[in-house]
Amino acid sequence: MEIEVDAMKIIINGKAKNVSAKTLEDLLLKCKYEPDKVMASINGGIVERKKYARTILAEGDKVEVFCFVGGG
Amino acid sequence: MGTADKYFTSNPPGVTEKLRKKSAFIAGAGGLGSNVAIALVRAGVGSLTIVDFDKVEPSNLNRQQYYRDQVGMMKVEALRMNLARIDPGLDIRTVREKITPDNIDAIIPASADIIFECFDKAEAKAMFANFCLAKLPKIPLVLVSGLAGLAACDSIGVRKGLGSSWIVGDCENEMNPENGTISSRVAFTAALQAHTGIRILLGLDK
Repeated sequence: MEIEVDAMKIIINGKAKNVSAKTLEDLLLKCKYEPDKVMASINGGIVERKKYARTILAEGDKVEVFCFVGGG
Repeated sequence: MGTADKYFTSNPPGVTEKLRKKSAFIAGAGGLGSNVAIALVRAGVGSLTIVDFDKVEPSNLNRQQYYRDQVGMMKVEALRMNLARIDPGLDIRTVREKITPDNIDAIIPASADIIFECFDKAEAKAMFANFCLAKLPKIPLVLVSGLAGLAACDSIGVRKGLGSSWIVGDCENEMNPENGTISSRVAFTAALQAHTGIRILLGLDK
């Protein structure tokens, strides 16, 4: 089995997960979220959509993600 | 007591005076927005800003608060007419524009006491939520996700979202041709959205 050398622990919506994701955008894609359909915060701070790709994650970060479904 | 006040005497005590002074922003005048607007105006909310770029279409009338003789009208104009029949004294501002990342700043009044997200597409909901949470973090924001199909009423809930937001819906059933949308479930969700907002405006939910 391939070992993901840069895997780290991230708490996503309250659940600890070992992922190798450098940025918030990477994390969302790895977790099968569509970045254009979510709102997200890291350690309680809202992150704007345009900053997902340059927001670097750190070990132990608490990420909250909410994904919208269409209809209104 | 002003002459207009006789229409609100059945409201819970003390509510009308508070709501008359409040200003709400409604983004989208479809199934959610048209129903939310009517609920707020009937409750006595004094000031509304409603934004939508669409016209009333026949397929809207299964769930949206318009009438057959309004097909082809701009939704914001039709809604303005319908709301004026409920409260002629309503202070209403309508904006016939599509909200985009480029114009959103100019459209949302920073003086709004509450914001209702009533869009259709998931991307529009996310874009709007992102903007409001980042730029207007102090204004309560009531979002909706998941109201399509025929699932039971108790699958639709209200919960705190990120920052100053609340989320209404089942967070699951998206609008697509298989699910469809039915008047009762859309109106139920809109009523929950409006009621959540009214409770926030009255300081009952924080």
